[in-house]
Parts: sequence; C-alpha cells; structure tokens
Amino acid sequence: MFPFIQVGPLSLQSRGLILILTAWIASTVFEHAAPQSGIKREEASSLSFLAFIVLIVAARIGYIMQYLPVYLSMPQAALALDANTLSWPIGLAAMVAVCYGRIRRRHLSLLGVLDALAMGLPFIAAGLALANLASGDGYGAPAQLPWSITLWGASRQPTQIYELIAAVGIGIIIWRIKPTREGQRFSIFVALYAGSRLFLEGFHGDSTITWGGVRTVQLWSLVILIIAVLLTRRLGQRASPPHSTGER
Amino acid sequence: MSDANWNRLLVGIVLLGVLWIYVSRVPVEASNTPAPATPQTGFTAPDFTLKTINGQSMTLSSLRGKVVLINIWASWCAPCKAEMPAIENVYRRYRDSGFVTLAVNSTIQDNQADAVAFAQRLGLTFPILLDTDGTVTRLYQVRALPTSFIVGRDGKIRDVILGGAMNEATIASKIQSLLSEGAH
Repeated sequence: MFPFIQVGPLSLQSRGLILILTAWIASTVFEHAAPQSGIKREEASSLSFLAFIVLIVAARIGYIMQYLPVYLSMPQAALALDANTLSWPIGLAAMVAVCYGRIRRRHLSLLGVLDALAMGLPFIAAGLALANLASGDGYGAPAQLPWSITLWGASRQPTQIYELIAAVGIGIIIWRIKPTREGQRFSIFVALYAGSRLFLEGFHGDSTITWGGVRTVQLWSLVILIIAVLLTRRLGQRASPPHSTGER
Repeated sequence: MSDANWNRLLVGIVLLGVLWIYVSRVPVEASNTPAPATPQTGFTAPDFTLKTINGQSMTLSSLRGKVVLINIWASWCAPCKAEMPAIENVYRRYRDSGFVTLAVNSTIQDNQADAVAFAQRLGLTFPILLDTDGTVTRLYQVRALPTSFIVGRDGKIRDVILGGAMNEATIASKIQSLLSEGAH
C-alpha cells in the first residue's frame, strides 16, 4: 500500500495521481483509435475534453445539491473544489448524457465512438485496480493463501492484483480482435469486464450485500453481461458494413 | 456463430453466473461478525485513550453513540492550522446533536508547547489530545497531516479524509447524515 508519494515537502495522494494519469492515457488512446472508427481525431479530442469538464463540474454540482441546506448556509464553500466533495455517480451520468447529445448534434457514429472508447477503457480498469492497490480500497476477503497480502489487519485475497491482471487480459483481447461490425469491440469489452467483475467480486471483502448474503455487484454484473452478449449477437446479425478505415 | 451456439453461450453464462453468485455469497456468520478495528472505512475505529492538554483522559470507545471526528494534526502543518477554525465552527454548531471532535495532536512529531499555544490562541473548545508517544499516529497509519476519520454512532469509520484544509461545508456534509442515524 502506497497511499502517498512524497515530492519534497509535498505528500501527493497516489490514488488521485494514478487516476489522473489513467484518464489522460485512456483519452489519448481514444483519440488515436477514433480515426479507425471513422471519427476525426480533433472531434475525439474535443469530446474527451468536454467529458472531463462535465464530469468534474456535474460531480461538484451533484454533491452540492445532495447537501443543499449546508451549502445554502455557506454559499462561498460551493466554489472550493475538494476531491472529497464530488458525487461521481451524478458526474458520470451527466457526462454520458452531454456526450451523447454532442455525438447526436455532430452527426457522429455512436457505435464508432464507443468502439474507439473501448480501446482506452482497459486502461481505466487497470488504473482503478492500481489506485485501489495504492490506497488499500477494494480489498479482498480474509484468506490464508501463499499469494495473500496483509492489509487492514488481516491476510487477504489480493483482489486489486486480480483485477489488474484481468484488465490487462481484457486489454490484450480488445486490442487484438478484429470486429466485423461497428459497436462489437465495445460490446465485447462490456461483456468481458462485466464477466470479470462477476467472477472477481466473489473474492472481495468490501462487497455491499443484499438478501441471503448475495453481493449486489455480482447481480448487476450478470445482468450487464447478459445484455452485452445479446448486444454482441445482435450487432453480428446486422447487415451494416464494418468500420471504414479513413476519417470522415 | 450460429443461433444455437449463441443460445448455448447465454444459457451457460446464466447458469454459471447464478451458481457462482450462490457459491461466493457472503456467509451469514461472516456478515454478523463485528468488523475488526483498523483505520479504514467500514471497519471499527481502533480504540485509544489519550490525555488532553488539560490532563484529563479521553477514551474513544466511551463516545460510542456519538458521531466523532478524529482529526490528527500538528502545529507546524499549515493545512492543519487552516482547517481548525472550520472544525471549531462545526463542532459548536452540532455538538448538541451528538457530534464530538477529538483533535489528536501528533505530539511525537510536534512540540507540545506550540500545540497548546495554538489551541489557546484560536480558543478551541473541543478536546485537544496529545499523542506524545505516537501510538495513535501509528495505530491510525497516518502518513500525511492532517488526516481525519469520521466515526459513526456505531463506532465504525464512515469516511477518511486525507489532507486538508477542509472547509465547514465539507465537514458538515460528511456528518449530517450520520447525526440523523439512530440518534441516542
């Protein structure tokens, strides 16, 4: 566990640094992959910039709305950006909605954008696993295994390392496959990632559980996996041509 | 892939998925076992007893039933000093609702006289604890100052805030929902 990186007198949170670096790598990969999906690189670049801005602003507004009475009594605090006071679910939802609107307005191919995005998403998955490893979040269930790691007062399943290996494996598959239909690369990524979450969540020690001790993430992962497989099948049955290789 | 193979794949995924969800469910006895004490969200806050700057002893576990902000700080740390007035204001506002602040001075890496002088200069009304031998600093695995732990009424850590400086709204938003949980 390395929660901080010491740079002179400064203690920088390694989790935050890893996530920022990951987002930058993923967006760069997305921009490079975009022309293969028929999206101009400049178009992809402005889309990823928009996504980042909307994510942060909406996450902040979402948090303020969640605690509106507090911020109404101290309105100046709303302007103080603090990583501890962001609502990521709201930020992500707004980001998806705004990016979808822009894709429609600019007459871009949604499936093409998603295929280019799929090339960068394994980096996000790997970055999240690394960030969790650095901060000790996403820890595993107690287990006495030759490869267990000692974390939070117990010998545990190294779930962060399992997830890192899974992300690398998914990345290799996603970068090597040659999909025949637009959207297939993305749907295969979603299926593989949901499958890995379904399997690896079983080793977690921090799962949210529902009735009978069933882990909520596994239920959602199974639903998403089924939808992704159905989507992959449906896309394969479409008569649309595969991606063009030039820029539109 | 033919339709029949797609159907087999889907049936296989559903069957294996449901089987794995059942096999890997959290056993009832595990979910009923109290969380061990470790300084991470979701676990029980490690217990400690320290002396305040007034010489009184304070034990964390004696505050069970209250929402506790454990703020670990030092007088040479600029963000620690910057967030103290905000912590004081939130403490004054919510102390009657069951909110307690324990400002643990990491005295092992500070000067006790400086810590006391700082607390007196700001007129801090919450308990200032002196971690003279670094027990709590080590127990809470503090690697940067300030570090704050928000403990719920059940004694479990609900949030860990690394670094500062927190403002009043940040602290208030973190504790408000906890204060409304099963008030004693």
